[in-house]
Amino acid sequence: MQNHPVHSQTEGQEAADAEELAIVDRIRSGDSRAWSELIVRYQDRLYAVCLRMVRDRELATDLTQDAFVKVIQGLHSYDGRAKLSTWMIRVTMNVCLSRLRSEKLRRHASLEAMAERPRGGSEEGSGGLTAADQFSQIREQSQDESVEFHEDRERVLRALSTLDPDQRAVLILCDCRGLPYEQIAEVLGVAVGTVKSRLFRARAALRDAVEAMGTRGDEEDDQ
Amino acid sequence: MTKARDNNPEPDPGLLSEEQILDWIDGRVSPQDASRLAAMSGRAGLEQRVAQMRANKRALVALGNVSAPRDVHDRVLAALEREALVREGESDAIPISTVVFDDEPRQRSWLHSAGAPLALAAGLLLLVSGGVYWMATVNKRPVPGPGPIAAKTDQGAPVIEASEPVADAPTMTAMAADATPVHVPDAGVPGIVEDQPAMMLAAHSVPIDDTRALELARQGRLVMRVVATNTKALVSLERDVSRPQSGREWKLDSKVSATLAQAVTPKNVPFGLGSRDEFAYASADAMSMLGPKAAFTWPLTAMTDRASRVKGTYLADVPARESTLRAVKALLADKLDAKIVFEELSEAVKLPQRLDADSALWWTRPTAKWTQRVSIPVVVEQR
Repeated sequence: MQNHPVHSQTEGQEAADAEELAIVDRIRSGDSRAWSELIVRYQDRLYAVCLRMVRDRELATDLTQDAFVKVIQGLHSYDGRAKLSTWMIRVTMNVCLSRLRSEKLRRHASLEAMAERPRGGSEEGSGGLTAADQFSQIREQSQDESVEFHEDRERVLRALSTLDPDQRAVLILCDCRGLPYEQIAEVLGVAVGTVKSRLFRARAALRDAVEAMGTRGDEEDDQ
Repeated sequence: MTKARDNNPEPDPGLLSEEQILDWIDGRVSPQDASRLAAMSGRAGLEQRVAQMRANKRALVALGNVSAPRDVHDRVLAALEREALVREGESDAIPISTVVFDDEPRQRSWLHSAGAPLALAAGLLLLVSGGVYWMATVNKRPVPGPGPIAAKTDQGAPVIEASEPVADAPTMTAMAADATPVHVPDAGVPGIVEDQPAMMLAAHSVPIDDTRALELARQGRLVMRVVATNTKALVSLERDVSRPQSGREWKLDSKVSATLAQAVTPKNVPFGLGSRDEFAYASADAMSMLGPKAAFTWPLTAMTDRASRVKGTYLADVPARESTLRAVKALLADKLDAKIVFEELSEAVKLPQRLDADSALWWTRPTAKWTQRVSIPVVVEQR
């Protein structure tokens, strides 16, 4: 009797996997109605990954869109070795990481340009906000939670957005998506040992970043 | 869920591995074990730090699911339609049944044009010439050489991070350094070898620079070979480097596990020989050890037995910085009158972690001061 729920859960999972593979086959054979089914199934999951990575709803929507286009374009190369969900999250994470890396490069270049520019010569100044700047401006809607918990959560989210994208990715996959190490390794294309090592560094870095924010907040309060 | 752990409390304060702390954060260690681990850490504040990391994890888990905006679905569909239309005709374009491709006229015109037979003939010619080329080159593939150290650069090889759990093989003191040094007349000036001589390597011909060396060290696939003239200086060097007062950032440890020592000991192959035939008879062709040829083979093999020339196997614990790596090489070259080369292992070896509080608790320092460390097996051979 006790095994029954487990058994039915496995069966349910298998049925869902088979259904997903059927959708993949239909897309491959040119049935564009199947796109819609795939999008409905995965839009929340992929959007959640994007939102946690960039902390900007509009940008997250754009990235989700890009990820879906890449997924459907690349379905012919999906060989079924990994689960479809793992593969799709991998594509999505790559889209996010590429975006964040290019943003970082652009921000670095613009900082260098500002440093070279003579003082007082800048009129555009704060005009071109980068996505990274926008991340910190946009806050997620609060739910029915205590103020303290909400503040903690906000601080952790802000600290998360200051981490290196690779560290951010591993934390999001592990804590927000609840993926096991093996699946994270598949998504990120690294060994399980590397996942553990990266996760540990990410946790330590996040702790430092949260603490630094708390200290900075206290100093601001004192002033 | 509680994970079974070694119940014998270790006196060494730095035995907390990253994996143990991760388990602790994830709640996979019982509260009793957690206090024991905290006590073992020998650092105040460790428990608090872990508690903070757990709180952060809880905050991230509690974020829960988010729903995509309502327009995501339509936006994606529109983007897909656009993409399908823009990339119409490209090989990797999205297959779309609702978009009608009007390819027929184009196909018809190509089939009826005068160029079709010519194109077919050209294609046939290409196929035939390709086939001839393939037949001519297929028999010229090089035969892989012998030796445990391969020049394999396959990135897909299994990789074990230097920071991964400790190999628990029994430790072994390095081989004694009491051998009488053999003075080679043309030993040359001691220094760091940039171009590796053939005698140093079993099958590696590409020099490994410091950047690559560090990358391999992180993967547990690097060996530092020290071919020394003055191996008598090994004892004093070991003492000097291991002294805490030396102020050096790196350490040389003679306690190397038997498994590791075996994995990095050079195979008994002759070196200093030029051609592949000569190279092979000592290691691969057993028959050449018998008969008239043996008169030449046996003494030569004994003379060139690399394994018997090994005077010590050590483990260098070094900050993962090129400057420190250069300093290590320079000191070894100077003290031992040695030539030093790096070798790439075909597979990663399990390297033990440093077992002191400083190295185990690197993460308790500010992020800006984090320095990754690597362990590099160092094999000292008599020249």
